[in-house]
This record gives sequence, C-alpha cells and structure tokens, in this order.
Amino acid sequence: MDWQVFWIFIHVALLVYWLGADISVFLTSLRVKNANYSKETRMALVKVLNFVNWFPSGANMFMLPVGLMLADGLGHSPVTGWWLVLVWVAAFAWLRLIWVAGNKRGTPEGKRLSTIDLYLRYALIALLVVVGVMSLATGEPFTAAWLAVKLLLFAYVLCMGLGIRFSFANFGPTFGRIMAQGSTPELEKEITRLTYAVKPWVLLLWGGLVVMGYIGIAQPQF
Amino acid sequence: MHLEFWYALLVFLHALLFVYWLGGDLGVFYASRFRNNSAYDIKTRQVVGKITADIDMAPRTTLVLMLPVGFSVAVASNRIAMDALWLIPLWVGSLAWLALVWWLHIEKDTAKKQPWAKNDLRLRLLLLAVLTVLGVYSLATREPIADGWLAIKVLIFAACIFCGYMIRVTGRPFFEATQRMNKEGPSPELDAILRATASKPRLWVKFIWGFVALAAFIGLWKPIL
Repeated sequence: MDWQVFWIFIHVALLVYWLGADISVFLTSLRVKNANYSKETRMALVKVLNFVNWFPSGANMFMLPVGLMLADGLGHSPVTGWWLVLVWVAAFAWLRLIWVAGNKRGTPEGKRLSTIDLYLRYALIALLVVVGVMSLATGEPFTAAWLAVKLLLFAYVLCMGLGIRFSFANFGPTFGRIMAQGSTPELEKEITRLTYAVKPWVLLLWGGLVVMGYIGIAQPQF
Repeated sequence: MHLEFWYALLVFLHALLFVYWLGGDLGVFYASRFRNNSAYDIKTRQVVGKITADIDMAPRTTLVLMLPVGFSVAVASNRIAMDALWLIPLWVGSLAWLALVWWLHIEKDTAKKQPWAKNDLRLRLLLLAVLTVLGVYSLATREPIADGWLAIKVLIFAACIFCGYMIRVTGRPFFEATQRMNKEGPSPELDAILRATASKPRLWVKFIWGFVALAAFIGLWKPIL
C-alpha cells in the first residue's frame, strides 16, 4: 500500500470530524437559545456543544500538516523532511495550547493563551495568503495551482473561524449570567442575537471546506 | 489525477456522504449519553432525545444516498457491467426511499407510521439480500463487478444495512422503555431497563463506524483482490 493512500484517508477523516461533526454543534446550538427549556436542560446542551466542538477544532489543527504530507507525496511542496516534522510538532503544540486555553477559559491565563492562539492564527493566515498568491503567480514554492488555491481557501476558512469566534464571543459570558442569575428577556435576546450572528460565518466556513474538498478530488487546472 | 468535472463531483459527493455519515454519528453517540442518564430530569432527556433524533437524520440520509451515488461512481468509472440507464430507476427509487425515511422522522403519529416503518425495514432486508448476492457473485465470477475491492465494498455496505437492522432489533426494548418513560415519567425500574439495554445497539453502531471507515479506506486504496 502506498502511504499516500493512508494520508488521503486521514485527510478525509479530518473533514469527517470537522464538517460532519459541525452538524451536531449547529443543531444543538439552535436549541440552546430556547428560553422555555430549564437551566438544567440548557446546561446539558452546552455540555454536548462543548464536547463535540473539540472535534472541528482538532481537525482544524491537523488539516494543514496532513495536507502538507500529501503535497509532499505528490512532489508539489517545498515543505519536506525535517520541515514536515517541525510542522507536526507545531500542530501538536498548538492543539495543546487551545486545549489548555479552553480548560482555563475565564481565567487570566486562559485569556492570555487565547490571545496567543489568535495572533498565531493571524500569522498563519498572512503566511498562507502570501505563499498562496506567490505560488499562483510564479508556480513557486508550491508547484500546483490547485494546491495554491487550496492554501488560499484554507486562509479563508481560518478567517471564517475568526468570524465565528468574534461574533460568538459574548455567548459564554451571557449564558453564564443566565445560569447564575436566571433568565431575563434582555439576556435571552442577546443569546438569540448571537446565535443568528454566528450563522453566516458557519455557513461560509462550510462552503469553503466543501470547495476545498472538491478541488482536492478534482485537482483541476487553473 | 485530473478528473472530469462531473465525475469529480460524483466522487466528491461520495466522500461528502462519508463525512456526514461518520461525522453526524459522533454527535448522536455522545448526546445519547445524556438522554440515558438518570441524573438528568425527564425534560432534559427528552430535549436531548429530540436533538439526537435530528442529528441522526444525517447518517440515515447518507446511507440511503450512498447507494445511488456509489453505483453512479462505479458506472461512470466503468467498474461495473451495468447500463447507465439503470441508474435512473435506482435514483428515483432511492429518492423515494429517502422521502419515506424523512417522513418517518417528521410524522408524529406512530399508528400511521407503523406500516411504513415495516415497509422501510422490509426494503432494507431486501437490499441486504440483493447486495450480498451481488457482492458474493461478483467476487466468485468477476461479473458484473470485476474489481474484487469494489465487490467487497458492496458487501461492506450490505453489512452496514445488517448492523442497522440489528440496532433496531436489539434497540427495541430500549426504545419501548423510552416511550414508557415519556408517558409515565422516569422510574428506577425504567432506568434499569434503559441502562441494561443501551449497550447492545451501541455495539452495532460501533460496527457500522468500523465498516464505513473500512469501506472508505478500501475505496481510496483500491487493492487488487
């Protein structure tokens, strides 16, 4: 068996736990905003939400290293050998970072780690855009145009992820206040507003992943 | 590996079905733990039950669509000796079946649903038989499917249908206890039944995951068998 087959499988499996798992996050979040449910019910739903949401977050971290393994296998990528090892180490370190940040949410330490994560994302987006545009324009360092387009789309997906993060940032504190002080019409209005505000970002992110999936399979000439 | 647009789209759809099958199941599996947990009040368990039933429509839908999409990919790549015209009834039949599956989900009147739920089950058993024969016959004679790996994928799909059937059979006491809980409210007796009966269908769910992942892997690998 070709190792490339193994990595393609992992690449698709990551999409399974990103796009496929997101369905659960989406459907559950639509119910959390229902003010008629008891605190206990809504708390249980948030628990489901928080757990399942780890899968898209984790898949997000590993999509790039696995994609780079595949690109290397095709001979389209300058990231080879020890550079790949470095990318993998970075991905695990980053996953660790968001894991700790997630568990320490609401503490100063959690906030600091979350800010680091945010700046890392900005840096990665900038890097992907520069490398993607360069590769499209000159055929270097990534030698296939469709791959360059996928890098740009990955940058786009990361941006949509930031859109989700910013538009939904107030959900946790607002929900926490409902749990602590009880429901008020203002707080419920805010929860409903946030649930609608985040939706377009989610749909745009899914769209990006779907297009990336298609391009990866079709590998069209641009 | 540049693929023609339409063929690439079919292969992509095939992969996307895999994504929503396995990915959707994750939420169902995790959330169902809350539904079965007696530490939560009845209302919470009912709401979680509703959500799991909604999410469960993802794997249910993908299973039905996998059939026409899979056969379309096989025909388009000349891997099965089958006239492309056969795809038309296959698609029409599958879409009708999908409509039935969704109707069974949306309709609340159990008495009205029951005969159709039985028909759905009969259809699944028929498919199980047809696909098993197709797979075994193809493996033995290399017709109408020449590639051994593809014949095996057909058998794996049949195995998934079988597991789905077993989920229904082994899950029946669990399902009935849930219905009773919804009517009578929770009781230690019902919780004991729920706890005792939840694990068996779960085992069959895990089998499906293994089979679906294996089928995806074989489809990518295409080993000579």
